[in-house]
Order: sequence, then C-alpha cells, then structure tokens
Amino acid sequence: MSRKQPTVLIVDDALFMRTVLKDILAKNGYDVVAEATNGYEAIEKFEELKPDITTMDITMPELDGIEALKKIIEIDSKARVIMCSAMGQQGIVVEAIKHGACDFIIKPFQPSRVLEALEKAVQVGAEG
Amino acid sequence: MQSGEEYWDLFFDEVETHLESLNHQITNLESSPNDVDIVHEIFRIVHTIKGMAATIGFQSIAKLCHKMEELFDFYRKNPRSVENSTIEIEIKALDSLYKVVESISENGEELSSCNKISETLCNELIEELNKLQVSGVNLSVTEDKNLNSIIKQKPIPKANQFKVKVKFDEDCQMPSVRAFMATEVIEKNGNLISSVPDKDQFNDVEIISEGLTASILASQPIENIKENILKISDVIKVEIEAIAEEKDKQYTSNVTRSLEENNSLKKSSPLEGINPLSLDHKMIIERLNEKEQEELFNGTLKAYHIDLLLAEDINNPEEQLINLVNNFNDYIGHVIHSIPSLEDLEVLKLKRPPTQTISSIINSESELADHNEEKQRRKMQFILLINGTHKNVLDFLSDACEINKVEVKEIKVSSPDKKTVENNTENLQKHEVNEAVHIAQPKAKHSDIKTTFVRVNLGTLESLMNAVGELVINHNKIKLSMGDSPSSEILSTTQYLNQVTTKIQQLVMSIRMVPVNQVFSRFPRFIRDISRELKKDVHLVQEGENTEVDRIIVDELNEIFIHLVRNAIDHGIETADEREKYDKPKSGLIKMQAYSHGNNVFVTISDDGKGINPDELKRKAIQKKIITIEQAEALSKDEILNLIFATGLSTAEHVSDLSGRGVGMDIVKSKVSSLGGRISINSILGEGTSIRLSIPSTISIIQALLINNKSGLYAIPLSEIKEIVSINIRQDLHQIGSCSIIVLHDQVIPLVNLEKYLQASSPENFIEDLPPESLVVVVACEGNQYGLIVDSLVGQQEIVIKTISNRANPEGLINGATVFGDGRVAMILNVEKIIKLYLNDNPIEEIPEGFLLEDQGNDFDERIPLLGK
Repeated sequence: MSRKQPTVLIVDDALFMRTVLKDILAKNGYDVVAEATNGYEAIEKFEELKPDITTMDITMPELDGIEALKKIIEIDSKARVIMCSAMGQQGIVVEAIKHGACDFIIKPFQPSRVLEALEKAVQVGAEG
Repeated sequence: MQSGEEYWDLFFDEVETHLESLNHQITNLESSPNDVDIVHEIFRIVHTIKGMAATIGFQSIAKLCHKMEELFDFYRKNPRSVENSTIEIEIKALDSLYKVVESISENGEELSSCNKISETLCNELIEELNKLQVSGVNLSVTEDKNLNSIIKQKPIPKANQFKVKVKFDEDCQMPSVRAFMATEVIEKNGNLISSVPDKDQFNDVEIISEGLTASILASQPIENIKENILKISDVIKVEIEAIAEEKDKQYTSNVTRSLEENNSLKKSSPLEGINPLSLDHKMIIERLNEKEQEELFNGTLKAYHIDLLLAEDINNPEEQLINLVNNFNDYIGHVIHSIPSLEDLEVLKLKRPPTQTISSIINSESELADHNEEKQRRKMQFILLINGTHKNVLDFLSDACEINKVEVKEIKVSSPDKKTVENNTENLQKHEVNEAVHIAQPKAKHSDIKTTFVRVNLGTLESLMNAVGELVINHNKIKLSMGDSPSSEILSTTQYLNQVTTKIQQLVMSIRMVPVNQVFSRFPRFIRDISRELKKDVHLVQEGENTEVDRIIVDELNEIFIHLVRNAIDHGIETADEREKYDKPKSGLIKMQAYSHGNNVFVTISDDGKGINPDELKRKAIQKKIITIEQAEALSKDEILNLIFATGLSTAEHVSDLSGRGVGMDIVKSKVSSLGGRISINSILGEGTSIRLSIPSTISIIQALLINNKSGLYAIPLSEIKEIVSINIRQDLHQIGSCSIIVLHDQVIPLVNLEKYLQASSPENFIEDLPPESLVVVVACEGNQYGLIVDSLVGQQEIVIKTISNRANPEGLINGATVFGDGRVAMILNVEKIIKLYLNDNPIEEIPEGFLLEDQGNDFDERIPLLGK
C-alpha cells in the first residue's frame, strides 16, 4: 500500500476490546498510535497525537464516549470519530451522530464492518 | 465474531476484574439503593462484560449480561430506589456469571449447562423487569410525535423538491440510526420536509423492509446529496425523483390531505410487499434453545414472519396483542421476537386509554394524530416458531383475534455457519487460565504510547526477582574483590552500581506488591451472605485497604480471612435479641484493619460479639486431652486463649457449643505460619474478640540478623527478634528443672540450645561449654519469649530468600537460605519450629507452678486493642 498508514486512537475501557480492535486494525494497514481507557485520556491523547481516526467506546468510566466526542469535536471540528456501540444503544448513537461522530460500529466487532467504517472515514478525511 | 483462543487469557483475566468490581458495587447498592452513581457504574460494568463476551463469542455470558443490564437500565431511566428484589436477582445473576465464566475457563468451551444457567437467570431477570414496569413507575409520558410530525409539514416553496429513496443493506446494524444519518446528510444540504417513516419514529424493521423515503428541499446539487448519503455505511441504493407540481400540492394543502398522503405512502407498511422482519438468521438462531435449533434445522419446526393489523373497532389493542403472543407461546409455538415487544406493550397498555371509535369526522390536528396513533397501536410484527403450516398459523390467528389484515411468510433458516458449530461443539481443547496474562507487545512503534497497566506473568516476575538477587550478590563480590585501596573511578562506579541495584530491587519489590484491598473487597459481599445465612445483623468496617502486600501472599490471605470472619459471625456475634439484652447495638460489628510496619503487615479482624469464655475453653481442652487439669490450672489468660490454636481442640460438630470460635483455628495458624507470619488472639468475655495477624509483607527479601554458630552461619528474621542481650553465665543463669533460664525485665526467659537442634551431635549439657559472657538473642513465640544462645553476631542485613529442598531440611527448622557476595551461604532459621522442638523436650509440666504465671507480655509491642476500648 503506497498511502501513508492512517493513524488511529482506540478508546475503550476494556483491555480486551482494545486488543481485539487493535489486532483487526494493525493487520489491515492502520497504525494504532495510542489507546485510551476513558474519556479524559481520549481527549488528552487526541490533542497530543491528532490521530486520523478515533474509535470511541460509549460506556466508559470517568468520562463517557459522548462527552469525550463533544470535546474532541470542539478541539477539531473535522475530527473523525467512530463510535463503538453495543446493541440497544441506538438512542445514544443518534446522539453521537448529532454531535459529529462520523460513523459507528457495533460490538461484537465484525472485522469487515470495522474496516469498512474505517475506510470510509479515511476517504472522508482525504476529501475534506 | 468468534475470536481465537489467543484472546482467552486476556478475556478471563479482565472479566474477573470486572466481576470483582461488580460484586463490590452491587453490595454497595444494597446499602445505598438510592445512589444513582452506583446504578450507572453497575450498568457500565455489565455493559463492558457484555461487549467483551459477545466479541469472543460466549453467548451465555453476553445474554445474561444483556438482561442484567436491561434491568439496571430501567433504574437509570427511572431514577428511584432500587428494589430489594432487584438486588437479590442481580446477585443471583452475578453468581451465575461467576459460575459460567469458571465453567468456560475450566472446560475450554461453553457447555450447554452454561446456556441453561444463563437462560434460567435471564427469565428471572425479565420477570423482574416486567414486574417493575407493570408496577407503573415507568410511565413517563412520551410526547406525541405524530402531532409534531404534522406540525412540521408547513407550506414550502416548490423549487428544488425531491423525493429521495434510500435502501439499506439487509444485514445492516441499527438501521434506524443509519436512516437518521441519512436525514442528517439531507439536513446539512437542505431541508427535510417529511419522511416515511417519520424521522422521530424510525423502527429497524420498517427501515430495512421499506427503506427511507424522504421529501426534501435541496440547497445543494441533488447529486451531491445522493453521493453523501451513499457514503453512509450500509446504504446500498439511493434513488432521486423530482417531485411533480401536482404532488407538491399535497404537502401544501390542508393537513387532512397531507395525512392521506402520509397514509397512502404508509399503506405499504406493514402489510404489502414486506420483507421478513429484519432479524437475520443468526439472530433468530441465537434466540432459540438447543432443541429448537435442531428442530428448526431438520424442518420439524418452522419459522414464520407475521405482520398483523388488528381490526379497527378493537378496544384494547395492546391487550389483544399481548394475549395473542401469550396464546401462541402457551399453546402452539414460540414467539421469538416481536415489534413492539411484550414489555413495550405492557407499558403502552397502561399508558394509553382504550380506543375511541374513530368513525367521527376528522377535523382537528389532534384527532388526526390520534387516528395515526390508533393505527400504529393495532400493528404488530413478530416471528413465530411453530410445528405447523402456513394455514395453521392463519387459522389460529383468525380464531384468536379480529384481524384487519395479516401477512404470514415462512422464513427459511439454514443451519448456522460452520465456524459457530466448531466453536460451540467441537472445540474440546482444554484451556487453562494462567494466573496472569502475557500481552503481545503493541505493534505500533509510536514512542508516545503509554499504557497504564502491563500485565506480567507471575513466573516472569519471579525470575526477575531471582536475577536481581544474583545482581546483588555479584555486586557484593566486586566490592569484596576490590581490596582496601580501589581507584576512585572504580569506587564511584561501584557506588553508582550499588544505587542502581538497590533501585531495581525496590522496583521489582513494588511490582510484586498489591493492595490488600484485593482481598478486602470481597468481604462486604461475603459478610452479607453469611449474616443472612446465619440470620444475624452484621456490618463491616474496613480500614487500611491500601496497605500493600506481596502478590503471592494476598491470595493466601483470602482463605485465612474467610475463616476468621466466618468464625466471628458464627460464634462471636450474638443474635439481635441477645444483643439487645446485653445493651449492645442491634447490629454487630466486624472490623478488618490493615497497616504495615517495617517488613510486616498487620491485619486485625475483630468483632464486638460475646467473646471467648476462658473457662469453657479450658474445660474443652482438658476434655479433648490437649492439656491436663494441672496444666490448665497453671495457664495464664493469654495462654488459655492460645489454646484455641491447638490442634484437635475443636471438631466441627461441637463448635457451636463452644463459647467462642474454634473451627479450624489450628489450620488458620499453620497457614499463617507457612507464610512466615504469626497470629495472636485477645478476647474479653461479653465484649468481643480480636485476632491479629502479623504477616511479612513480602516473602522474598527480609531484614535479618546474621549469627555465627559452631555449625555455621545463620540468619534470623529480624521480625522475630525482641532484643539481644549479653549475659554473665555465672550471675544471670538460673536453673529450673532441666531448663536454664534468665530473667529479663522481670520475665522468665528459657534458654534454647540452638546447636542441639541444628547439629545432632551437640552435648546435652551445653551450659558448661559456654563462655562466661554469652550472647542471647531473645525471640518471641506465641506470646512467650525465649533466648537463643549464639556464638557471635555478624550483623544485620537485607537478605534474599531462596527456597531450599525439603529433603535437605526434613524437620523444617530452616525456612530457606541466602547467598552472600563472597559466596557464603546462610540458613534462615525457622524460629517457631525450633521453639516447638524445645517445648517438646521440656514439656510444660516440668516447669514449676508459678513459673509461667507471671505476665509474659505479648507478641507485639502493644496489646491488641479490642473494639470500642
């Protein structure tokens, strides 16, 4: 692949979920530059590393994904944040989309869907 | 997705942590059921576990968590005090979760028993949720969305109007969110005039089967809008159609017309040209038990998708629908999914008044809305599993209720994909969960990555510790070989080396340390369970949870604490009635305190119960032939209490007769000793009992006193030593029977001939061989002090303990060995064992009356405080 590896920040409070997601991404040409375990860390890492894409879990301790998303969009309105949701969180996902999330993926993660979402987010970034 | 086994270790390790905190939080919730934060926290934890389990493919865990979560979600949305029944059932569910997790990790696969456990609990959880919802607390009134949607249809200019039809992938997840994303795109590039279904009423089924049809007013070129909608995941098709002049009128004309238009668009839904309910096959299968799955695959059972619109004049459509589903479930089949769900119907039923006849003329906006809503109320889609034909279903339906329209379609379900089968049934490979988990190094090269925690295999840590030990030894070697006048360069280098070595050593030690809270945190729940079981009212106070101990020790402590706490509640704390009689607070108190001092961690477990009756204890000990009556007479109060640790004092069947406790206290004691710790007891009749443990905070490096004896170099753990005195054999030595003693601070201290035990050939009468000025190391053991006679002192030093083979040390007099820089080896003495042997040789009866009756002092510097004293 000639393009530069897109950088990704993974935000999830469960180490397990991060590992699964990271493996999917790393195997498919993404550069996972950092991981965060709660909303505050996510904001901090985002500011520091300016990743191309951020995957954001919704339910997290300290500061949840929605709040972190709002802050990140405040920092960079073009930030591409993909929400990681579980079944039954439709309302929250809608809320996230309203606040500027560019897409969402649903747990349990299906690699093809994850990659599709990431790919779309990368394209959006390339245009915008 | 079924992830490979490479994630198992990680999964189990993390789940265990989550379960612990869940346990903790649920117990917390019980004491403060109004705390919204706890509810949120619990919801979050369960949610996390659910996500993890679903990802790795453990459906029994995922499903159970889902139901647990739903119940807490109810409380999240309806802030109120959490019912006791809810907590009970959640605790039950938590216990089942533990069971299922354990079973999977032991068997290496998800056995059908797991699914059964999960299913049972799920049903109970659903029941609880229904109960809560029906109890009427859930009736927050939702705004009338239909009304809103109609008001929104204001007159609009006619230019740039389009009808946009968006189709979504059948496998689409959360289709209504996707549809929402489409409306977002539209609104960014123009105005959304109206949509079918209405934006506020997206439902997954309709979106999948019908797609989204939106009338829009574009402010951007329509092609751009189309393109942007296509960029949304799962959108497979976007059709654009310019709205003709004539059609525009429908939107601008009066509301009645607009409603008609709305209905005419909607008429397709749900009764015409529908696709099956959006449940994909996998989801259908997931909702079935094993037997049903099998029967579905072999064709005995069939799945039908049913789309139903009840007749117009039905008074209580919700009730009808509920009855219908229940009838299906009771008599002919299994409704595995329905929209709206039964739960929703129950809620709606309570919320909504019976239908009015709709034949009245529609002449106001609100009535229009009513009309729309009424129609919605009579609709239902569901999937039915039944052993019967298409016709059977239709017959049953028409018997059961009055129907306006109905559509029944069979869903062909193929057997699940191979992968699932493999994972569920053929994966017999044993799987072991390591104590800790190795994580592959992150693949990213970024130097900025900071992970908060790295999990390390305990074995690796052990090797690291050993390597550090070698480093210390070799550093000392270098120092010794430098001679008296090393060059300043070498001197400064070795000094720096020393600093670094010490630093590494400290770091490794700190890595091994974990807060004692890891054990403490299990006790609120434990005490809750035990006190219920024994019907006693007990509350727990914990202090010093952050005190750190060696990881290896912490696991051992759990067992010890459980024993002690159980005893305290079982035999210490009185029943509420008894307590009232004695003017004690109704609720008993158990206190667990921890603090560290020097190399030791002290843990006190005390209760304010009835205490131990020394007379009864004595009687018991005599009866069990542990001591003779004469011996008993001579015992001090502390010594009597210490009898409780004697082997064979209590047998399980008589425990409760005993005034205090006794179940396996000898076991507790030997456990504590094996950790190099000590245990002591203090009890006041009627006021309570307090047991104190002193445990070395680590068992790898200790402070020790090095001594030289004829038989070699020895180390005595500093924690055992009270003091070191130099005695004059002629003046200070007294003889009582066969024992040589000295008197120190008004205490009688028997002298122990170390050599006799360490070296088989030591002369019996060692006193004669002693130099006139001898050194005595005074050690404490079981509340008494003893003097060890040593030849010379080498010094005090931090030593690294290396275990030695039991064969080399059959009597257990040696606790391990340590190696010094110069290659010398010192044995670490097991003082307690030596004293025991000494007492065997010099049994208590040989000690004259009064000898031990003086105040012997205690194991510890201060006496153990009792609660409330």
